[in-house]
Amino acid sequence: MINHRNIKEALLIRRVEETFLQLFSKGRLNGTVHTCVGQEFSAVAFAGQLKKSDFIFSNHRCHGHYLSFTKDCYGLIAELMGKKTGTSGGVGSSQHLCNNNFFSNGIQGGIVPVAAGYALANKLQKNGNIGVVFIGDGTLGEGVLYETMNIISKWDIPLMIVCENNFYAQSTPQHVNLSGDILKRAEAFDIKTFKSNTWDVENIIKNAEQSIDYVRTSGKPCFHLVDTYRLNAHSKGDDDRDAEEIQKYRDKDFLIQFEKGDKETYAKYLVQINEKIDSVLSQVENDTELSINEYYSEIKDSETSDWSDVKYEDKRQVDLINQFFIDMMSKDEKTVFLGEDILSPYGGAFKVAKNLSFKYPERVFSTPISEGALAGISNGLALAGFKPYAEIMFGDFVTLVMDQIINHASKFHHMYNGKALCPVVLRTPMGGKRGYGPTHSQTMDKFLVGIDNITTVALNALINPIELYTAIHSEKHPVIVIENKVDYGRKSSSLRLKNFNIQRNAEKYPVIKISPYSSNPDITIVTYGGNAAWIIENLNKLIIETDRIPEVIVLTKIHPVDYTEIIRSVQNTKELYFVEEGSKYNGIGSEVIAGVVEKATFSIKAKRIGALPVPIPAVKSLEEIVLPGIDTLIQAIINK
Amino acid sequence: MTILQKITVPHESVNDQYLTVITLCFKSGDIVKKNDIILELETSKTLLTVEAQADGFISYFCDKGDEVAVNDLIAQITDEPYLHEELLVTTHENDKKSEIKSEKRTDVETIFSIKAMEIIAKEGIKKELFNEFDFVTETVVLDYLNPGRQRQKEKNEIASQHSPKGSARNDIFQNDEKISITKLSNAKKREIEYLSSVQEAGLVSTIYIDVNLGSFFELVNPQLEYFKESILPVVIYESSRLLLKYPLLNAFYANGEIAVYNNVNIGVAIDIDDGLKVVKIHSTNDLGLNSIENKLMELVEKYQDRKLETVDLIDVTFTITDLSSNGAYFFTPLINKNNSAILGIANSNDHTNNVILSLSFDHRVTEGKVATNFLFELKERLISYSLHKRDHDIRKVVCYKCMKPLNDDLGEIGFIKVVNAQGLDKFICDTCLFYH
Ligand SMILES: Cc1ncc(C[n+]2csc(CCOP(=O)(O)OP(=O)(O)O)c2C)c(N)n1
Repeated sequence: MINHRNIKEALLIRRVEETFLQLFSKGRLNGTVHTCVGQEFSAVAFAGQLKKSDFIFSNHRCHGHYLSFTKDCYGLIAELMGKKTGTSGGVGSSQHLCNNNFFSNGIQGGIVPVAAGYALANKLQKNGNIGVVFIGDGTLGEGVLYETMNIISKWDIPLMIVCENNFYAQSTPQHVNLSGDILKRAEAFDIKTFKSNTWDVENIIKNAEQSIDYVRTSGKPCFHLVDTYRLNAHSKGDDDRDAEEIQKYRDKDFLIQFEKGDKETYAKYLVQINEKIDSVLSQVENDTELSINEYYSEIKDSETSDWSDVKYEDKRQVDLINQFFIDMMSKDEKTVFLGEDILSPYGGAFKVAKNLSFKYPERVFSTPISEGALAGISNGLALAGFKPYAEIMFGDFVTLVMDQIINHASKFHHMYNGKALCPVVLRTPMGGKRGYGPTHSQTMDKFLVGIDNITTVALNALINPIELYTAIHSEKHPVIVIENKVDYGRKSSSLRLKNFNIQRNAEKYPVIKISPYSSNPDITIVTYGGNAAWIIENLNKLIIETDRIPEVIVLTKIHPVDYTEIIRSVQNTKELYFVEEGSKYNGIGSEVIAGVVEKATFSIKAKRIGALPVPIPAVKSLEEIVLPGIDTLIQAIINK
Repeated sequence: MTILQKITVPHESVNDQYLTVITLCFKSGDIVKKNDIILELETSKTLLTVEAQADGFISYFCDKGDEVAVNDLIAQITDEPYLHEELLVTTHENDKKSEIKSEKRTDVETIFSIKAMEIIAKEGIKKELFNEFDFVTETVVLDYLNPGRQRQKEKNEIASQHSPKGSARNDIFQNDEKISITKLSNAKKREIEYLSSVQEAGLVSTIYIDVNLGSFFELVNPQLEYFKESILPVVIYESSRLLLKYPLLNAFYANGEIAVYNNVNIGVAIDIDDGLKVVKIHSTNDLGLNSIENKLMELVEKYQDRKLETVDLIDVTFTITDLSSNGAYFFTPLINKNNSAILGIANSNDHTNNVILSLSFDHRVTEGKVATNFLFELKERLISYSLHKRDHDIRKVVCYKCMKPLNDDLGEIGFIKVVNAQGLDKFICDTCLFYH
């Protein structure tokens, strides 16, 4: 027996989506819509049977999942019509919905590790909640899916992957891009599998319930394959499928059959549903749209702030960072540490996690070599209110997490109109001068700045990392932390200078100012991160050889850059040198100099100093030439 | 303690914003009496003395040689002796910076740039002089050597923002071995400052002199191959020798310094239908009259064939422009870039055998007296050519007996050269010789 509540819910989904298509053809919807007409019972079976405290991550075809889980018809319609009252304020529209524990995103596969992280948060809290992540069969082509399946199985994460197999990926039929067997994929990871279809409604509802129970009671993941068919185009009008094939599935469609079998009940339900939709539509009509001020606010430069002498520490940077984590994990139970090879006694490639897994085994996760999943899981933990610190073993590997940084962490907050916070922290040791060669020495910083809503902090040898990490810990939005491999072994106490005042301002991510004791400086050097130490160590040499007296500004926050102090210094010297270890083209220096030029009311001379644009060679003699050092800087100043 | 007298720099003339301290008559802490002269200042025009108006203890806030600005407090007289150091900290302009620094550090060492060390070695300055500094660069040393430099530099910077001329210095100094640098005196700098406000574009004066050539050409023409009836080759020849004696006319002004050329390369302005060019006669003072003439001819031909090369046009140290053949009788030549003077040659308007020489010179480098002396000496030399024709100036030939000048002698014989009783060569008229 099929509960008529389920039939009404499926019909509501279908009518809402048909309404969207009508509105779209009338030009009332902006953008695109992917409808699940024909697939509704997958939504009803899974989303409809979860508890409110469970969660759902969905993809581009998410309206059904949303309605079944949240019952929020108004928020969905308003969202697609671009209204402020929409569930994502009209920012997200069709593919980017958020309502309590419901999230959808338009990146195929990317949501799977995020869902795993969210599920891991449930597991850590032992609250008995589980989650479902919906993917299409086309998404079986995404690598991060398999990274995540490996991990959820290994770590016993209570997450169900529902694969809605409609035999097409956009326009491509399955035989073109899928090899092997779908369920065997999951089985290979030792993940329990289930199989249903949307035509045997009674069965899918029962199966869904069973699989939900399985996950909840076992605390383990499962993979549920749902054969189904979408009766409409992929989005709108893009349908090249055989009409006969479509008709075959129309004939199998439960709602069409139900209408034929029980016209009266169907008509009654239809009227109720149409009335509901009409009444929502007539209200939504009058709703307003989000204003730019509600959506975006400009980041301002600091006012002049107090300056104080830098405090020197007689401890190595790496030990201070380690100390921060040891302390913070005890203070804040929401702190989670993830990374590759971080279990003690090894404690990570650079020993930042030393002893951490001994002390907090339940919150230190050594991941497989799966940077994408590592970052995605961290994002999910963060969305669920944890403070995850994800370590990317070498800075060079951040390329593998860019999707999680840019399409997930960066976007969540704004695209869900402020409903979600993702305070993830991604840390990575960066830079060369250790002879690790091309793929373990590059400075990738320029790829990690300018990302919306993400603060990028670069540690340096002058500021105690405990102070910086304490500030980072309280951030509500994502932070990328660039640590420097060479600085790990440095102590700030070794960087005292006789003839300079080394001061920092009172900002959360302080700007450091290294000014000649009494002379008026005639050039400004701006830098950050690992460069600070070697510049400081060689300042006297620089003056002796160049005949120029510098003021050095060290930024700890390289995005967004606080220009106040740079402008002050350059206003005096009119000559700016920006030093970075990455290659200078399109680099941090390019950005900072452009920013200074935009803000300055005077003209300046400027020069970028960075690595040569070649992969970093391992051989020492060449590495020294390719990476900027004091001689590069001196030559740049002399030849300005 | 009461301050009995505050001595500030007087505003003597609108033109003098800076004065130089010439003498400090006492030491700080000395007792002075009313009407004692306590210090002397130099303005652009005169020396100024400052007298004590009361008996008391003197404190100086300046040093001998300092450039002090109008209204600066430079000394004071008090009724009790005062610790000089204390006063310095609170009033000396250069120490203001150290007031701002909260904590005074003692471990600061002085670091010298290589360039700074080179100058220190060259000038034989003591490094210890810079003990107060954290870093000593070339600028610091140059500012020490020439305290006015900083202000001048700032002024130049301001000036260069308003006119594109300010950028000359770099290309000028590229060829350092060709020049040697002399510092401008403080008085000269004041003069520049003074004249700048009047005519910012250039501080140029011209002096004119009339030269009667007499029978100049009768003697010179036979020696000339191409430029007969032209005074130009001789003027070039003589000027090139004279310039060795007047180096400031063979020089130029650059950014507060005078660059004097070590060589004399006279440039001659030519303008025959193809635009004005100044062609160079290299090392003119080493060439004889004929070599000069040949070189000039070669350059004129190159000019006409449009074959002049860059080497023919650069490094001119002094310029001569001859407009006499163009019929000009009076003009003011304009000084070329990187020169301090230019000599003009024109006809006099009375169609006699006279020429007018004009010398325009850069006030920032030299002065009227020098230019006038140069012109007079040049004139003397030119005249001497015509005198060569006669062995003696007849006005100066006098009979040693009756003192009658040869000029007045109406007889046909003229005077007779004799040796007098003292063994000296003398002249005697026929009257005295034959009738007395
Ligand atoms: C990473 C990524 N690649 C490509 C796309 C473009 N795209 C959107 S939907 C889609 C097809 C997805 O097929 P499937 O996973 O089977 O889901 P279905 O559309 O069939 O529900 C594609 C390729 C995307 N959104 N994200």
